[in-house]
Amino acid sequence: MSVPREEALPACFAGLGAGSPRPRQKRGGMFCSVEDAFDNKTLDFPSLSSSEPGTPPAGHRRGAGPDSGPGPGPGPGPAAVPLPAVAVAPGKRPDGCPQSDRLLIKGGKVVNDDQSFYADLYVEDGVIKQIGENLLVPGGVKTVDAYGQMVMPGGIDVHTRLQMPIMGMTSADDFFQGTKAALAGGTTMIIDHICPDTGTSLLAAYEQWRGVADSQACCDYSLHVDIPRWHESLREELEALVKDKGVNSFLVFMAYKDKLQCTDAQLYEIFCTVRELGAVAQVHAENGDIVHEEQKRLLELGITGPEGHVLSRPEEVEAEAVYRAITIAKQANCPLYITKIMSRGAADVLAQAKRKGTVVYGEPITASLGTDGSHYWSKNWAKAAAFVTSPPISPDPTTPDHLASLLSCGDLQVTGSAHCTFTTAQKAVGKDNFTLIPEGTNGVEERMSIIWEKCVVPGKMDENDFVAVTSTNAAKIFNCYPRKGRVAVGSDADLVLWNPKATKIISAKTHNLNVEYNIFEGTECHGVPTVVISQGRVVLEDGNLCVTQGSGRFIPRKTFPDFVYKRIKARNRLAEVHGVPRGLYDGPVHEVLASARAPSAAARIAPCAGKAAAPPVRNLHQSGFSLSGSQADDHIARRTAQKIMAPPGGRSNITSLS
Amino acid sequence: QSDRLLIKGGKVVNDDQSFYADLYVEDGVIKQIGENLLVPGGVKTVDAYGQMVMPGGIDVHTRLQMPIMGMTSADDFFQGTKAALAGGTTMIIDHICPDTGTSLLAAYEQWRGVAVSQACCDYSLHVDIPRWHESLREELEALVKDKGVNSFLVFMAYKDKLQCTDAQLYEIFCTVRELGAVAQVHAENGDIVHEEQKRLLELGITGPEGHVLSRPEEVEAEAVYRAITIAKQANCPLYITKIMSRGAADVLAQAKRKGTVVYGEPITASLGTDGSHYWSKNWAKAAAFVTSPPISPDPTTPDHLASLLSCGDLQVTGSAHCTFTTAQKAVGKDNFTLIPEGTNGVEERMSIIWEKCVVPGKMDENDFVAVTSTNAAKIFNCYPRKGRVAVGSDADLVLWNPKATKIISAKTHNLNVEYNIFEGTECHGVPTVVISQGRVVLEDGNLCVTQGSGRFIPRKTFPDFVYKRIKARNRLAEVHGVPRGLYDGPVHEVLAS
Repeated sequence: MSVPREEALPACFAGLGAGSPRPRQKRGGMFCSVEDAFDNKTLDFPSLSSSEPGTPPAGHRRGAGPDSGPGPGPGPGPAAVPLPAVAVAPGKRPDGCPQSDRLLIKGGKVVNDDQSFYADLYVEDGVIKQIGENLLVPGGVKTVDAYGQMVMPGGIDVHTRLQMPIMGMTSADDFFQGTKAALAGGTTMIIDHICPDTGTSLLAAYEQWRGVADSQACCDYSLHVDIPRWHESLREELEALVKDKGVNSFLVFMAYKDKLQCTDAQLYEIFCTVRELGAVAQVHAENGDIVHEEQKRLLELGITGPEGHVLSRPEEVEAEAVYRAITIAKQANCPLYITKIMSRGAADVLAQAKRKGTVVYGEPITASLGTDGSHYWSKNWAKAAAFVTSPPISPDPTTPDHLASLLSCGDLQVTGSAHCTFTTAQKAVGKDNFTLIPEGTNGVEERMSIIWEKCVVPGKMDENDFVAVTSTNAAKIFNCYPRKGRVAVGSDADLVLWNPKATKIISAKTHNLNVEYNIFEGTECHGVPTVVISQGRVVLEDGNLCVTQGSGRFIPRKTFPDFVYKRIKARNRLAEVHGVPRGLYDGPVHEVLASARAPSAAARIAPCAGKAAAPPVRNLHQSGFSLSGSQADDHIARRTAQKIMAPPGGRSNITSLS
Repeated sequence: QSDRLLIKGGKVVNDDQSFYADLYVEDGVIKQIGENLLVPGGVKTVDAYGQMVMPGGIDVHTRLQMPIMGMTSADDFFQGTKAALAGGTTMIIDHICPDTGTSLLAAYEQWRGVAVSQACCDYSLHVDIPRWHESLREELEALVKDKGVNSFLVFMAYKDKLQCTDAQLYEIFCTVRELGAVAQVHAENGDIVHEEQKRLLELGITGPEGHVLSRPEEVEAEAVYRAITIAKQANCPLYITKIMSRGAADVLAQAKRKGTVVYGEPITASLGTDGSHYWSKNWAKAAAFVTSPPISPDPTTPDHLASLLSCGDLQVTGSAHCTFTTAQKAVGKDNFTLIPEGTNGVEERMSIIWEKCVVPGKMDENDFVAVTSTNAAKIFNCYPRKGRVAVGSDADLVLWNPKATKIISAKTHNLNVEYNIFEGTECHGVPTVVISQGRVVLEDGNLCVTQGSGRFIPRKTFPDFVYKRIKARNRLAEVHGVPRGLYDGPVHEVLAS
């Protein structure tokens, strides 16, 4: 693709051709980055909506640096290639950011989840174009020296809650700050949770989140959708999200009684729906009923501080919910993903279920791997409150080590941060009542280093396993592999240069977050991202973070991820049940008083398809959705198998069905 | 009948040891144990040479004469206790299942009234809690303090009917612990069962096989796990009725290993047969097996449960005897969810356990006594009056002949039903003489029972066997807050709404 003569000494040649390939440290400071940010923002939208290839040529003023980033979704520009290297490469951005959309990464050890090897990488238009030795690259290419370092796929943080609205506040780190911190820590993609207000439609919440994120995120992102209250009419919304909006994962809550909590029957229905749609069911696993009772008891005992939070949510309560979720998912034959594995018990239950063949994935988070819950008893209220998250960080000091072991052996597969931070002032809303402390800890920035420190440094895993649990497995489960999660030709150039020899001490003084406390304060990490490349652009180098607000793209995800659904599909085929053909029973039948079994008639067979349609009584208990009647997808056959909820008041409307 | 008995030459078997001794019984109580006893003249002598003299069996779970859907189960208190005696069981603990809306106390009186006139052996009563509400607390207290009931059953299944939520379970467990009673749980996830039932009926599966398909083993294990978790939180001793599957038993065994105070009750049906019969072409036969949780279709289950019972992970056995005639079962001939649930087992329990556990060498005769009688007496607090051969204990005794053989069959059983789910099972171990309240009720194959002779055995609260550990933990369970200065930093404003 490139001219042979250029390839020999790309850096020098670039210098020759264009002169001053690197006057880049005329960092313009605040003005430049602001300007840059706006540039990119404007660029971003067209690039998303149409094929962008026009941009790079035009871009030598504003586009040069950042533009490779907005590089449109999947197929960045073939158009970029033909354009003379020299013209663009010099790309001395007037802004401060040392940016080029062509990169040569030399001398590093490429680390994937399956193997490591020494090779150079050539990156163009945000995509890895070549891997190998003695690459033919155009002149004027920026070269990143990776000698002695590992070149890994950038981390994927599967669980963040940036800018999350709660109790009329929003979490302290917004999409800009949060993704910036992510990049600083070596994470180049996040999957954020949309948490719709009760009563808001899921689609509206989705649009709202997209709006915020598109204008702010500095790295690629994708979205999970939380289901706050299940009712039948949500089925269509889920379908729309899955089909048109690139969402393939939904979270349900087993905790937060009277707020977000679902009953077992609802879980079953949701799991069935999710499986039919080919999505992944995520569960926040805690027994909300018990938690609620314990909270009452503790408050009555006069325990109001953050220690009440952990006392009211004992480990067993988490393990129980995990067990239950797995049982229900197995019944519904739905792949299950447990968010936030915080305790030994929960992890062990999950590991055992895997041994029985259940398709279940577990996500320990930075906090559960990196620290323990002894701090809940800190005399410093603000510090103790900073640790409040649900399920709580286990006070058992052996938990991080145990979780690290399970993560290393494959029983747990994927890591998130559950990053959802609140300032001390925000946390202080619950200063007199631990149940009001907004829940969430930091972790998006620290995740990669903590996992390296807890798993690789003590020899529990090698660097390939590290890539698997921080990036590859996530990409596979959530179906953006191999675009993300792999260093390969054609994959997105989201890369981390990892220096296993460098050391960093985590501290609130140096972190990139909007909060006063860092729950990992003082942890020394022997392994640090030295260079981070997002969308083919260097965003971290020499300790300088150079991000562009709004440059993050939404990564849509398809349904039926192979990694998850191959087994599910096979089991679906096997799961047919058959009745026993018998002659009619014609013996005596005991008479039953009519009153004794009112619902009996109802429970009888609802024989065939059309029957379920258009119940005159839509379930009034559940729906603010009164114009129901016939629905857009009434014609679809599977609606015949639709489950009708038994409302609290009785099953009379089922009677009317049959 | 004489009220004085000399039992000569037998091997006395308790849960801790066996020894050869004669027994002298008077006024329904064991008066002397030893050799060369001094006994008054004219005493009836029972020859026990070559046989084992054991405490009579205690069946911890029966539902005789249970009202359901306007019917009552086929074996009433007379027939049921008669069958119990025929099988070597000299005490039953029956479940009171109050109608929703009936007060527990009223139901208790009703059951007592029926049982007192009909039972032929001693009995005691559990009370089921069909729907929890706060005001039941006083009723429980009354039952515990004045009525000799110390165990209550709650349901995690039967959605929209008997099912309790987790929060209710927690409350009930707390109440039960405060009262010093034992919390029993019927463990199945009713929500899932309900969904599966709907699904299967929609698929057109209406026969008894639908019953087992709608209640898979995992659903039982899940509920056991949940019940144990909640009980542990509430620091309440837990008793799981009807352990029917490997999964449930394993969950329970693991919880014991973590120190939870939990007891599991496999029943005659789960130890003696498997659920393959649900697919029988004979509807009536298939329906006879319908009980909840269902008998596991996995043929390795009985053996596994027998192993756990032998090693102490499961401690106690019941029969869950609740029989219905074929005509009664046929109420659900077009819909498996309407088949009344319950199987036989009160008569066969002792022999089945001997056959499955002692004959293959999994347990010795002392363990056998433990799981059929002694542990039950300890858990439900009638030890050592029941469950032990000792001076002062009730003379409820079984002379067990390990050499005799019997084949179980509906033709010969003492029940009111047409099918026996253990039909054709050969048992190498048979009760030859059964003594209830000091009177011989079975001898030479002749059953001689007296309707209404059974006494109600009141049970006290806080059974030591169960509560010693609970009490110790209660003392340790206090929690303390952290004394901190008042937080005086900035507080984010929260919208009132």
